[in-house]
Amino acid sequence: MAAVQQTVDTVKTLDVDAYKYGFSTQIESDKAPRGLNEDIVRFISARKNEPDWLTQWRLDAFRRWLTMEEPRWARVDYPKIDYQDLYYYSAPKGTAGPRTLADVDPELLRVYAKLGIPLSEQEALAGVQERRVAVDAVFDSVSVVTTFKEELAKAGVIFCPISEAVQTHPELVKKYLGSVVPATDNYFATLNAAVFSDGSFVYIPPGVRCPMELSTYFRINEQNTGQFERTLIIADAGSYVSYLEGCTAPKRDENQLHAAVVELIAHDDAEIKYSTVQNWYPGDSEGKGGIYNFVTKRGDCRGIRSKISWTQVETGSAITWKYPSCILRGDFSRGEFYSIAISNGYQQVDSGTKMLHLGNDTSSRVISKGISAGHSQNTYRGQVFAHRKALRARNFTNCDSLLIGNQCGAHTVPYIEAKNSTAQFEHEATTSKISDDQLFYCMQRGLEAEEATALIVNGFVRDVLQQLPMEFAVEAQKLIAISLEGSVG
Amino acid sequence: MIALAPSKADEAFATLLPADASPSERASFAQFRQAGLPSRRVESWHYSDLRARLRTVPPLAAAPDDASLSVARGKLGASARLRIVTVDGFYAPDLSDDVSKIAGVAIASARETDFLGAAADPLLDLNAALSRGGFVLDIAAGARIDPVIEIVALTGAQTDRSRFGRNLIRLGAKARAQIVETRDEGFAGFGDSALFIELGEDAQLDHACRCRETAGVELQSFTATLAARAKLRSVALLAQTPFLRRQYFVSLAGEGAQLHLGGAAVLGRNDHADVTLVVRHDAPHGLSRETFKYVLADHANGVFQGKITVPPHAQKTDGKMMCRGLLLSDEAALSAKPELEIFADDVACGHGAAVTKLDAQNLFYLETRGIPTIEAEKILIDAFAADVFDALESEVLRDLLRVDLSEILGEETLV
Repeated sequence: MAAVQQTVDTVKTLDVDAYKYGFSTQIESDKAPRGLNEDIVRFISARKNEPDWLTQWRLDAFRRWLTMEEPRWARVDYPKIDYQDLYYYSAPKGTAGPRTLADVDPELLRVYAKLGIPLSEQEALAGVQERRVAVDAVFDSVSVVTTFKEELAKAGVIFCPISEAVQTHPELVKKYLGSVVPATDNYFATLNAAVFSDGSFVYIPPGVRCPMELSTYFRINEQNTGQFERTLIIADAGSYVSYLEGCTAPKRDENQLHAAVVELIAHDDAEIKYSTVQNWYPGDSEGKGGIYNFVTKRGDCRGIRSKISWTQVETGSAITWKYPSCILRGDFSRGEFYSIAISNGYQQVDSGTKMLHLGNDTSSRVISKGISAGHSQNTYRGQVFAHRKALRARNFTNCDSLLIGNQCGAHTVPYIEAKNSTAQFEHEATTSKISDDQLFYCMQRGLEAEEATALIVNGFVRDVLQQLPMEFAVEAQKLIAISLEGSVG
Repeated sequence: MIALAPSKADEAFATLLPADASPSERASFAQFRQAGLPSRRVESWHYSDLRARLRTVPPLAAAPDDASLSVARGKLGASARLRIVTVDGFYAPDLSDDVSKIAGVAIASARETDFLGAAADPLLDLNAALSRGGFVLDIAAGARIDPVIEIVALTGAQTDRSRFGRNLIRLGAKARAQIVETRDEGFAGFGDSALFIELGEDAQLDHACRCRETAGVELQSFTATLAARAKLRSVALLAQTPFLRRQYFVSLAGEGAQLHLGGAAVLGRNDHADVTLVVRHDAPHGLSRETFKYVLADHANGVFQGKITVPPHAQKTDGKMMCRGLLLSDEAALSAKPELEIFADDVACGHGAAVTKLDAQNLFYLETRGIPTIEAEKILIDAFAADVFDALESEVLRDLLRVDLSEILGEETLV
């Protein structure tokens, strides 16, 4: 089959018209009534059997949220969200927590099978393959199955749903929850603090190198349910962890709200690598539907020589509002941000990072690749800041944008703020289309225009792809191919 | 825009509108009043806190009388260049040379100031409402004006005044000119000036602006429109600016227009200089280069906000923007926000920003050749800043800026 025809077919089967993950599963849900008030917040807290301090924390956040205004500074445009028209809690039936896969609702397993999560192969995977992945599967906000817990426990690693950690490790949760992203941080983070349903909790004890890649799959399933995960990862002194997050969502007509919070804490000499592949439903070919993704992700390099690295591949969501950041507090700490943001159709992406240099001799690196096609708008918005007392801060930022088609937009909004003369900041950005010379060169060697374009785009994002763990690199490459092939040529 | 409670300055401005204001001036004033004085909550004013700096608004400057003319004349000194002088924002023919004796040049007082559809900006609105008696300088089509024309902005007032200069420079098709603007209005008072430049097809203008003494709070707007194949080269040298906001609104309206903008800010003490530019490529094949450099000592604060906008119809645009900062003290700060806003796919646009301190190796190199540290530093700073003057084609203007720069470096104890 000719490559072009093949592409057309691939796009037909996978593109917005027949979104691969656009199906919905019939599972009975345990829902809180529609709307948001103090009773709902108390209801969520009670359902999770939370201690008083957490209930109070949620209520404080909720009261604060009522006084806040939704931010409108990002270059995204969407109809007003009616926060009273959403459900804030929905748990799949039978949350007692099945011990084995056999206990899991078979309908749920089928959903995962369609998604391609090899959950049912986990046990086999554990024995056979050298590289193992622990999955904390989140199905509409509640972790249903947590595998590999015992394996991890042997190393002393705690990896469990945050609701469970509240019961089993209250001292850790109390100490770290909200210490990086305070409940008062911003509109969406405050909303999350009030109504967060579940998420992952990871604690790596001192000196431990986590024996496997930790991974979680988020999926939005229940109709009209905003999902509000909260992830908390703590790497104690000298430890290392690599965490993977991947997301897919079923097709919906109404826009769905997603306001997650991720907090990372790295102590002395610790390293956290956080990778995301996001391919939520971006809306149909007219731009209707799709996920609203308003996420607050922040890492705190608290210890000396600590390191936090964010890698993200963003291909989905109707609206993306996401700025994974690093607070470089410890001396010699390092922050990294690698991002590929692909927008097609009517997607709107406003994403970037913040590198806040507070300690001495801190360094950071930002590599951002934006690709916009169709009618989409793709904005990089990043801040690099050196505190007055931060000596020898060093940053290198590179953000490149590629435009495919003449109806899309690519924008760059960097904020560079140096308040110390020893800071050394460099920023470079380019915007261009695929160079005719490169295309010609490839085609001259016998490649079709489309293949050549794919090759060049692949080269364009290579710096970032290389940062992804092996498990994700494959998925990411597939996603990029799907997201782009419909629009080039 | 976020609605805010009016500040004290807002209220003070309300009393400034003269009773004889024309309907268009009243309309501009109403627009300003509606938006209010920009606060830091407005994105483009994030780094310059105008509301905090502008606590009181001095009374409106009156048309210069004999007393203020003689004050201005005292400051003017002699010069071989042809000069157009404004006093407190008013065109002062008595102090100016008669430029209209050059063939192809015409100058007139402008009472009515509705000559341009300017960018939507509260400072421009305020200027449009309150300015009186600027000038319109016309260079006829095809005229090639070799002598440098100098525009000198002076003050004649003995006490704090609010000044609203508003001038227009128009070049007809294929006209060429070189103009130097010297702003020396003194540190007192408040200034909100506007300069408009219109270039006809194939016209070329070299423009250099020397900001010597700017008002306690000084706002400068530079608006330019370029027709097809027109070339505008403009460089500003900013020094001694207690609080300056210089904003550019440039539209490359005709196909193949070229823009070279440059700026060097050499600041010390508590100086604050904010350069904000919006360059809009409104036609295909446009080219723009923007280079701004900051040398910041003491507690100086530099701000650069640049935006290149390329709408879908401006294909084949070539735009490059650069901001570099040299921090000479730990209390100095530079904030840069170089933005790209691109809706066309066949473009080559880029921007860069870098900030650092003086390179120790370069210093060492000069010191090993027997140059004292202070001198070596000045050499390096001079080389760093003077680089932007090369955007000008006119050698005369470049030299003027170079002389000014070395004077500034001679006076300033930067390190």
